[in-house]
Amino acid sequence: MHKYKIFQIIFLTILCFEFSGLNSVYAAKQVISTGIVEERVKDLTTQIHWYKNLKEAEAIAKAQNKMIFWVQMLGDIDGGT
Amino acid sequence: MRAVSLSVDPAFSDLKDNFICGYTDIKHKWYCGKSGKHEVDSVAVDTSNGAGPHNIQMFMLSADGTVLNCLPGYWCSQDLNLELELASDLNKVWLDPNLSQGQKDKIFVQKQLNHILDHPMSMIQHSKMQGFDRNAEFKKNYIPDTVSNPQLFLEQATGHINNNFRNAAFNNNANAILNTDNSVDPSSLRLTRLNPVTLYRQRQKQVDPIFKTTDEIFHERMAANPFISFDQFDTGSFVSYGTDHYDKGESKMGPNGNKFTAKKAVGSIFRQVLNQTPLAPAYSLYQFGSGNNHFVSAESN
Repeated sequence: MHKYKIFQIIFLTILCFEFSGLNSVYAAKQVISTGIVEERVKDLTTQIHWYKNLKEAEAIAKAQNKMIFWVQMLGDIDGGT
Repeated sequence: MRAVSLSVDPAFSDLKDNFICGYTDIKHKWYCGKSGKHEVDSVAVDTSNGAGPHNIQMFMLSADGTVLNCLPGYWCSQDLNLELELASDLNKVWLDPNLSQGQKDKIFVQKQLNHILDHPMSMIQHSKMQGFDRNAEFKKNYIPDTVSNPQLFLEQATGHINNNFRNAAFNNNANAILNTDNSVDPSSLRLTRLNPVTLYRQRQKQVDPIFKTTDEIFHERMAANPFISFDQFDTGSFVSYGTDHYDKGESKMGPNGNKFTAKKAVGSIFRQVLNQTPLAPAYSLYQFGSGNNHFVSAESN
């Protein structure tokens, strides 16, 4: 009898978990897997030269008649952020 | 941001072709926030536009360092591209020798504000302020410029906002700022009207009833700073919304984005216990019948 009650509690708890929506944390977010992240960061940092000095970037932009895309970020563009 | 947005077309091609790119680490700047760790060999997760404004800002500058546009936080690639195009338009205005400074400034303001109305619905949906950022705004003791409906803001802000401020704001239908002694600064009282653009967007597009979307916030703030040099740009004020701590928990995810959580651990234990009991076939049948395989799909994501 005691064993039956334990099974009953477990089963009801699982049902509550299933229908409560708590497991919706598993709903898909757009996650980019590690291999693709590495590949894209490599593309970004090899196909585009990233200047670290704004004055230098301004001089190149003037010479090439282009605008500047200047990112202020926590971390490094090719490392940990 | 690097893997989900900057390195993805259409923004990637535009950056390669039309911009000289550069970056700087802002970890020592006073306005810089905190963030979870994002390594190159970890997963990346997309998020909403304007999330994490303290941790990343993307400036579009003319070649002489004049600020044309600035995006605070994360922006998805297609929305970022629209803003790169606006910067290109504004650069032409800035370089036009036939326009006076006054004319240029006027065009700048118009283009920034009109761009809000040009944003596609998808961009507006991407730009809805997230719950943790809304909560941070509710904790302010004044009505911030991120609010589109001050009345609703005051009603919802109960518990966070000082009574003196709330009463003064309600009584005057006004914006108000508290002095350090909690009295209301009379000079701060000014009539607040709902921005017609905000009203239009709320009515037509049913966005957040209390807060502006982040695409609207940054364009309004940009419009207040026409053609100023990068050195004079007040980044701290520009990014002042939401929480300064931002973490999507990527560092806790496996290679494919599956995340170990306490809930998941409990679920796993339940499954193991259940498999040892006479109820196992019944539960399997239930899962098969309902097509409910959350546990399995979570593991394989």
